[in-house]
Amino acid sequence: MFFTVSKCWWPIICLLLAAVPPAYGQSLQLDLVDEALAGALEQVQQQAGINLVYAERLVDGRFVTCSYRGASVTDALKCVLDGTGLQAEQVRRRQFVLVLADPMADAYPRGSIAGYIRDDETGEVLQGAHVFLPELRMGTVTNSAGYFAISRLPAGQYRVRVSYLGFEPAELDLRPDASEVDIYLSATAIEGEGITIEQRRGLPNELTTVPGLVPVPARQLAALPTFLGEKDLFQALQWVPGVQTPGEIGGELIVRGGESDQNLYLLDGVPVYHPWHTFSLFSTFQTETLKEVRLYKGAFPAEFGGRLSAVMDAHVKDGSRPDIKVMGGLSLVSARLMAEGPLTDRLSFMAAARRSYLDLIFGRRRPIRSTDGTADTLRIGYYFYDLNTKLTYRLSRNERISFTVYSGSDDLDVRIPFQSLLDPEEQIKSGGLALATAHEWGNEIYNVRYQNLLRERLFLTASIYRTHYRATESAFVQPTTSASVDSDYGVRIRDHGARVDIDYFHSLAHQIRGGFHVVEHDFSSMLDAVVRLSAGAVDSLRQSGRLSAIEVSGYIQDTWQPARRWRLQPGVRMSYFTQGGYFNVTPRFFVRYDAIPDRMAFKAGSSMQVQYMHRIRDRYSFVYDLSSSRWIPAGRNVLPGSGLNLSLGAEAMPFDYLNLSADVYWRRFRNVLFPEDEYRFKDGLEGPGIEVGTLLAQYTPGYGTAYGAEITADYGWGDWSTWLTYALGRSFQRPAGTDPGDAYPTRFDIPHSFQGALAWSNGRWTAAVTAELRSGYPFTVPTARYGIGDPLDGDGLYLHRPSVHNGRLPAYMRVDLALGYHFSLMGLSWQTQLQVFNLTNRRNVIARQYDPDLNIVRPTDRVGLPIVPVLEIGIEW
Amino acid sequence: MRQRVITHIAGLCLAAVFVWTAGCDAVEPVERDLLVVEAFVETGRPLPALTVRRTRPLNARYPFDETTAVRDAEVVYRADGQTVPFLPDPSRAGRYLPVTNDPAPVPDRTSFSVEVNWHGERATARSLVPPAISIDRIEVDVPPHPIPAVFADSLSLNLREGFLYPVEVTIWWDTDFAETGADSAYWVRTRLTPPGTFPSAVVGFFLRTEQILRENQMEDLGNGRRRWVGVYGVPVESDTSRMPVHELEVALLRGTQDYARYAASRNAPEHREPVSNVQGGIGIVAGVSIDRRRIEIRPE
Repeated sequence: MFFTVSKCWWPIICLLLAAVPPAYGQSLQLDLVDEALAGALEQVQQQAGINLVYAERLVDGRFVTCSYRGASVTDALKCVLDGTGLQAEQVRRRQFVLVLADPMADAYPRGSIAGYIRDDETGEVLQGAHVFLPELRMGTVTNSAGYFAISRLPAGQYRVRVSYLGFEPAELDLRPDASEVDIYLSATAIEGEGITIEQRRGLPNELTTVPGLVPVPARQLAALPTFLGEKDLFQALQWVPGVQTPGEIGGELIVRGGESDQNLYLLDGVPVYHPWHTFSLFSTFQTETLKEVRLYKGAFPAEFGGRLSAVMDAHVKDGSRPDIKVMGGLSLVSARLMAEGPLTDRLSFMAAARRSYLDLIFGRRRPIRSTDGTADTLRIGYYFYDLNTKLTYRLSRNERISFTVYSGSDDLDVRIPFQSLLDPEEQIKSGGLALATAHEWGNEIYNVRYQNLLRERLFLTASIYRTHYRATESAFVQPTTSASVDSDYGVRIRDHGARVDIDYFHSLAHQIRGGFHVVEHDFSSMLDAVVRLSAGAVDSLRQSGRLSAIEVSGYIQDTWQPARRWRLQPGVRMSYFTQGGYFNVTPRFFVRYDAIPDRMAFKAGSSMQVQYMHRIRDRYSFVYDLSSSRWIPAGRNVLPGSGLNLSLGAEAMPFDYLNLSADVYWRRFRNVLFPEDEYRFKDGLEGPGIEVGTLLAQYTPGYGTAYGAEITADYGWGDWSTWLTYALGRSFQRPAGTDPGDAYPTRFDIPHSFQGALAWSNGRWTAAVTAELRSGYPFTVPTARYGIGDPLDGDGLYLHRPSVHNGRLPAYMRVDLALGYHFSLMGLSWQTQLQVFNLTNRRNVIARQYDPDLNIVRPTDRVGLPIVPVLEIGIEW
Repeated sequence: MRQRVITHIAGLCLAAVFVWTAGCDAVEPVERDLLVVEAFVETGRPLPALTVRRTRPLNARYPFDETTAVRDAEVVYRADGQTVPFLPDPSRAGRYLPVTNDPAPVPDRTSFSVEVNWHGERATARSLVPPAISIDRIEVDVPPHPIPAVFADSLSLNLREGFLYPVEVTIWWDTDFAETGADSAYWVRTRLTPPGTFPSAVVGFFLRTEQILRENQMEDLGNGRRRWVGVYGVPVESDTSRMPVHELEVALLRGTQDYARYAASRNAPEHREPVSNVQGGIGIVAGVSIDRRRIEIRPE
């Protein structure tokens, strides 16, 4: 059996079973004489177990006489409504709407409420906004174009509630007709014509069926404290329960026990293979350029595939503002500039640039000359940049084409002639002795996307794209005139892809989404290393490799609302990978049950995933493969990774200002690669090489298991907002061929994590304090000491480590602060923000080491960063 | 309604408590001492002495004396149907000598096992005696003058200029057996032991005083002939200093993969311990074949 139900799951299962509604009876008996119509309809509802939706003005003052015995709900309603001029239209199973009968029409007309949801301030379409009909207790979610359609509605007027996280919900009355509407949401309460702002009456994600989906509104990200003041998406995401960043300030995301390479990072639907700057300290995603981010932490819908752990789906702003807006900012690390707005009536743009500038201040470059006359140059420089552009052209109201370009790169260039480090009076007699290294890596993305509302209920999104990640590393060290290492290393992965997604708004009950995706992956790598130990001891390693594979996938999913409180989302994804000829069918299923409408809902989801590529690294040489990501495709010798995710979630809103949510999950991965020797570390000039087979010999396939629970309390009142989260999570791994009992905790296994944030804003001043208290990372603890010899070496002292990751560092705790002030000066809008990292200056233990040669072995700790205050300035005009 | 919400939330909290209690840490402190077994059976030599010690807690010193020795273990060697008991050597605690009337050399390709029983603990290991190995030729190349070098500890900025003679040593040997089946899995370990230690970690990376290699993946120079080139450094005072006369030990060892893993994992005791092949204890039991030469190095 694939898994067994542990004791942990029974309370949840019992809870869900208790929430299942009772079965309804079908035997109807009506004997009505001059009965008020409202009362008669109530009898039908009770006896038939159905839900009737009607406006009170239609039934007030009406009386009916009717006698009916039978099992047909339709006939019973006909009997009750006979002579009233009203008619019952079934909108879905067990739900009817009363409308005025029109004897002149051949068939009763049905229509759609459809349109776009937009940000009132910027005009950007909002993907994932909820459009809800409270009377019918059903609704839909906008697609990537911000479009929604609720189809086949009987004529009449409907109350429509629109909500989106970070915006005030709006309610308005709409009639089903052929024209699409534009509905604008505002972050602040502004009442417009026909639109009223209500106190929040529903759960914030009232239509979401996917447990573990975290919509992250971009405008909320900017308020959180970040390391060195960088407006960084990944640093903000670390405050999502179940998401960790490795180490104290690392930028990679560890989601629910999965490894970073098991996450799919999407920018406008295009994968980004290495979304990090500065050796993974910052991400390439600038929060100011994004209009929306959705993080799928666990099971993810059929439209996503190719990774095992999580999906981060980020969307770049369209620049749909009515006027041009320019923003600039200066942090300790980088300067940035962004502009967006219209170019013509139909063409809008968003352009952003960011560059680190420390090399311009601290970078050094000066000539060095040795006593033998050899000239050399001292160089110390590092910078990164991002360029992000999006052009959107509206061909018509319902048809548009957009072109996204992203280019980002890091460039490290260091050459230190040893002469420059010596005392000026002690000069090297031979020049050329130096240490030099150059690393350059980056991503390029080009994406053309076409979106068209083909018909009222059929929406097409098609795109072609190219994503390219390349990295080069070169190293040169010459400490003597006869010894040197000279290495050039490069990796690249390049995708050319095309995808088509179609949304079909079939009816009130069914919204079908399907798509097709084909991508060609091109992997290449190169190493040219020469290690010269002496005149006669020269080792050279010249290797290069290139692999390509085509991945074809298709999916279909239905968002099905069979009854008032139920919302199901079955789906299936099929994929074929040419390297190895792997074909996989991975089903997905999600269900949502509104236990108490507007107040409490339960969600469950399961999905299987396949990952056709692995990221691995040479674990021997410290000369190459240091900063880059080496991806290899599955093939005959390495199976694709596969995974199963199960999630249960609950949301509750006991008070209008308090939202509670809880998720439990269990996930298992197969055929993921672990280091064959966990204790192996880079310790030499030469490695065994970069051929795929050689690298795979350093890894072993295995299993990963993770489970946990996450609880969040979100409180908002006036100018204050706060949230508290607790995450329990365990993650284990074990090599294939070992017993389940041999599993050991993963590198970032965090059993307990508390996080909290408190934010306040009065328009001019903003303040946010975040705090994190979590278990320390696992590490391997020696438990005993022993001595042992060797025929060539003699005796040595060692520490016995009985198993991998058998201990844990002390608990980690940190408090960060962000204090902002907005003001106007010289006609410009200014924002200053003071960011304080590690406000309490707690020196957390981040690594621990033991020396076996001491008389009594005691640990030596390495501590993390102290308090780091940073001032950031931003300008808007 | 609110009561129902609170009831459901209470249920969730209950579930959370269950999940919490299910999460347990993985720390498994080892409180009992483990057997540490060390045995190297050499090709063409009589059965050697082997050593049995035990681990000690981190807060205790670890001298290689009777404090850490196991003196009363039952030790048995088995090979090709032959069983040889080992008894404690009264002259050295922890050392065990074979009790046999036949001190015949151990032939190559002997598959053997060692079993140690002590106070209910049982440690066992198996290995294979490899074919004999012999250094056929040693060639030494010393440059006529010292070369300048930058000496530094690790990558610190505390640099100084120094001078050294990089001495290149080439050794040859023959693999005079067919490398098929079990014989295709031998490893060789080469080692140069000059006097003293080299003073710079940075330059040290560019010296090769030892290496562990899979023998059948080394270049075959014809008829199974192999060659290995090593480099060691002799630091001197100035660019006019002559290289001091000194002795160099050259060693060549052939062993199995178990030994190769063991030897390759001994170099960073602060990070890792040697890979053990002993079941029920820790340590190494391996068949090895060794050839050692000591040569005098003089400036040319």
